[in-house]
This record gives sequence, C-alpha cells and structure tokens, in this order.
Amino acid sequence: MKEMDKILRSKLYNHESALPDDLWSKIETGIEKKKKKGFIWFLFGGIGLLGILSATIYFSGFMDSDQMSNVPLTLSPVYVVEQSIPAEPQQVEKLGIIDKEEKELSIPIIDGTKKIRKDLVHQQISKPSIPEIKKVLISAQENEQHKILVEREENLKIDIPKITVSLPALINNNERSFGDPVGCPTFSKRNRANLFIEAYYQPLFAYSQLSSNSPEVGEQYLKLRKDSESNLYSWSTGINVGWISDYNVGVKAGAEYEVINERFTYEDPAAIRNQTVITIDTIFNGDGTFDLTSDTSVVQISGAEIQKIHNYHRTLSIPIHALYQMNFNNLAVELSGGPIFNIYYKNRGKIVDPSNQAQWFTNGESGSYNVYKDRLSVGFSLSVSALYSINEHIQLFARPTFKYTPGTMSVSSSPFNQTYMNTGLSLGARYYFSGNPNY
Amino acid sequence: MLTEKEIIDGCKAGKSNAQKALFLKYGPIMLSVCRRYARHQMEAEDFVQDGFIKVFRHIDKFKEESKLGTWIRRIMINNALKHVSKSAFKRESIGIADNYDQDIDAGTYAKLSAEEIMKLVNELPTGYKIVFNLYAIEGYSHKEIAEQLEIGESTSRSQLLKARRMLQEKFIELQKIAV
Repeated sequence: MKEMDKILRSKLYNHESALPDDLWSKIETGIEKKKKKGFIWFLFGGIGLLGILSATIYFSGFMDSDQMSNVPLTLSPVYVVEQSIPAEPQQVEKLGIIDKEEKELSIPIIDGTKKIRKDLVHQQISKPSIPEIKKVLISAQENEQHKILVEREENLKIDIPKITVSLPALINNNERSFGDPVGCPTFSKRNRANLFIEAYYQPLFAYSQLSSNSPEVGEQYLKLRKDSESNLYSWSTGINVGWISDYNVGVKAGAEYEVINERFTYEDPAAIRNQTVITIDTIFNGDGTFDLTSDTSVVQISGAEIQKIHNYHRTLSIPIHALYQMNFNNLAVELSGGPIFNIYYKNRGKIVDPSNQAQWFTNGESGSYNVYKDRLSVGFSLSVSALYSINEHIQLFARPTFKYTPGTMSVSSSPFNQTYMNTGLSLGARYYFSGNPNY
Repeated sequence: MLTEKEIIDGCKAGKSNAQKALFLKYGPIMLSVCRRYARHQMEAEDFVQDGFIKVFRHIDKFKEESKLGTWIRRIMINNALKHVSKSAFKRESIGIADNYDQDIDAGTYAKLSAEEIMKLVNELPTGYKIVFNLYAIEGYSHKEIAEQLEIGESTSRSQLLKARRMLQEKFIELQKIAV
C-alpha cells in the first residue's frame, strides 16, 4: 500500500501538463473583470454614501426647531446677540464687525454671553423661551429702533473661547426656518411642492455579461460569444411624471423604451449556398430550324461565409424612482434611483450555440433557438442629474445613469446566463407645472 | 528571467509581466493538479483560470516563509474542491480488508507513465478520486480531508480503501493485457 502510494506520488506530484495557448489571455481577462467589478462597487458605494451623507446633513438641519430648543450646542464664538432697547441709540455700540455686515436677526440665539462687555449690553436674553423671543421680535418690528444686532467680534474669540448656544428657532406659519450651520444654498427650502413632467433621450453603452449555466459550457464558448458579438449604437428614451416636495425629496415614474443594438459576426467555414442555374441549349434541326431547350437546376456551392447580423434587444419598462434635489440658485443636483419593471421585451438576431453553430434566437419565431425570456426581471437604476433652470417653468438636464438587471435574461434551460449593465448620459428637459421653484 | 522574489514582488505590485512569469512557472503543474480533480480537461482549465485569478488577488497574503508553489497548490485544490458535490462522498461502512496490494508487484506501477496513471486515477468515481488524490498524492491526513470536504474521517478512510482496491483492479487488468 505504502509502496504504491509512494510510486504514484512520485509520478504525479510534480507532473506537468501542457498549457493551452489561450489560458493566459483568459486569466488576464478575468483579472481585468475583477478590477472593473471592484470599480463598479466602489462607484455604487460612493453614490450611496453621498446620498446618505446628504440626507443626514439635510435632515439634521431640518429638525423641528421646538425640538431643538433644549439642545445645547457648543460652538466657536461667531455670533453674539445684543438687544438694544432703544430710546438711546447711541447705547448700541458696534463691537467691531468683521464682515462689515449688520443684520436684522430673525432667530435670536444667545446664551452664556457673560464675557461681553457689559456696558454695551443692555438686555440679554438668557435661555429665552419661544414666546419671549416672539414678543421681543414683535416689539422690534413695531419700533424701528428696536433692533437685534448680530455682530461678529473677532476679539471675542479670545475673550470667550466657547459659547453655549441654544437654538430656539421661531415657528412661523408662513416661513419655516432651520439651522444651516454652513450657510449652504444646497439646503435652502424650495418655495413650494411641485409636479413636473420630463422627457429625455439617452445614448448608452450596454455591457453584456455572460456566464455558464451548464457543465457542458465552458470559458471557450463564452469567449466565442463575446468575440462574435460587438456593440453598436444603443439608446433609450423616456418620459417621467414626478412630484417633488418642499423638503426637496420626491418621486417619479414613467415609461422608458430602450434599444440595445449589437453586431453578430460569424465565419461559417462550411457554408453551403444554393444557386439556381438555368441552362439554355439551342438545337439545330436538319431543316435549318432550331429549338431552344432550357433546364433549371440547383447547384450547391460550398465555402466559407461571413455572416453579419444586426442583433437587437428592445424593452419597454416602467421606472419608479425616489429622488433628492440639492439647489444652487439656478442650478440643481439631483440624486435618483429605484427599480425598473419590464413590461415588454422583443429581440431579434443570431448567436452561436455551444456546438459553434450560428442560430437565430428571435423570440416568437418557429424554429428559433429558444434561449431568451419573454419578459425581463426587475432592474435597478441610479443617476445623478445636473439641472439648469432656463425660465420659470423649464429646467434642462444632463444625467449620467447606471442601470443593472441582476436577473438573467436567458431561460433556465439556456446553456448560458446573460445580463446587461448599461451606462449612459440622458439629456432632457423638465417642466414644472407650478413654476420652476429654483428659478 | 525573473527570480521568484522578483515575481512575488511584481505580482504584489500588480505587474503584468510578473503575473505572466508566475503563471508560466507554476501553470503546468497546477493544470496537472486540477486535471486530477476535474471531470474533464475544459473544467481543469477553468479551475486553473479561477485559481490563478485568486492567487493574483490574494498574493498580498502570501507569507514568504512558506513555499510559493505549495501556497498556489493549496489555492488550486481548495478552488477545485468547491465544485465537488457532497453527494460524491456517500458514507460507506469500513472494514474492507487491507490486503489488496499483495498481488501486484510494485514494479508494475513504476512502469506506467504519469499520463497513464492519471488516466486510471481519473476513471475512479469522483469521491474515490478526490480522497485518493488528497491522501496519497497531496499528503493530507484523513482529519484534514474530513474538514476540507465536510465529511467524516471514517468516510474518508472508506473512500480511500475503495479507491485503492479499484485502482489495483485496474492495474491488474493492465498487467493482464500487457502479458
């Protein structure tokens, strides 16, 4: 036993087999694919992270002010609030405004301002309640001399290393205010919720992913498929109806028609072509007349034939997407994403089968190679739009879009699994029924 | 010609020439290893392809105190075993007499070429073949095989015994034909 194992081991352990010529190129391709997959997940992750981050910042700044009134914040000394009670305007003294800007304050914020020069402060609001603040503001509006000044005093940074500020923002029926710590227009409130309709056209690149669905099908067949199919110009177009709330989040749904075009190129080394040959003979008779006879035959010509077929996959789908918009004056950036439900799928063309024969796969035609489903599974789409307002109703947009349908488009009995991953740039226009809120 | 150290460093840096050098150096042995676990040549090539992609992805984890060839071999075998169905290892009772080697002269094995032996081994049922390869050729213990394949140690022993007996029968047949 041991002897047998020893001998067999000595013969087999370091035995070498001749490498096929194309194995290294397959490995190289595999390495590239892994890199691409990594990049795609990185892209997905980045977009997702950006969305989460944006939503987090947005909603953290948009919390109800009343709920925040008891939340102490420790900020670097930027704002100091002083209220002057008037009669003697000269008593209101500027402390040295850094940005040379004096503002009327709509949100009194103050607490812990003990180190402000007391001779300049006539009345401080310490831990004010909302009714108190309202009262102060109403009286300030009634009397022009009653002003609340915000002054930025650089020296205070020395005097007051930290100021604890509470944010008891006002609740006003007509206007909602919320903390915007960085003063970014991104988080500014829209004027109103709005319905819109948009239309777009998208040139796209469709990347076909193939994998084996049968032990008989190996990398060689998949490579043959990839080599024989090349991308042609593909596109999609669609229309969406949507609604965007005054919180800048919304939803849209519509219809999208997509056409993926491919070129199938295949050299059939043993093609046979039937050619009809008509032979006409002239028979001269003894009396000087002649007769014409004809004979029709079919001749088979064999040889190599190069086939070039235009393949297509056409789909009609319903996208239902959530969206979030960030506004920058006339510009806006919108993140959107969600599922896409296929309602119609039609295809036509040829592919090679595992026996390396070219086969028509056109759906619904008798005798065709039945490998594709009649309806595709749910896909997912992610996009980032840049929107530009051109008038009070219309925005133009450019929208890089990524779409992926994880479920295979081939039937379970097919020897392969096939999915598509699309990227494209949608160009279109959006019309707001109630007026463009960003214009 | 790159040294092994240069190949490893180059692979860690993602250099294509180092990756190819590593493939050319170890590819032939690994293809032979995978042929012993695969059902056919095409599947063996697929195992090698997947295996080397994993090697290049995880080359950073390779510790240079171990042998590179052994590390790659381990990856290839693990990768190949993932494709083996558990139904190939049906539990069988042990107790087969360990006396099958008595009729064959060890010289008979020695006369056979590696390709001939590989052909005979590959004709074994999947479960027998896998266990025989892991134990007799790769030097795994029954405990390691049991853990690797998630089967009992007794099953591993049983499969090995049956594999040996079947191989022995095949050798006897060959011997008869040769005579």
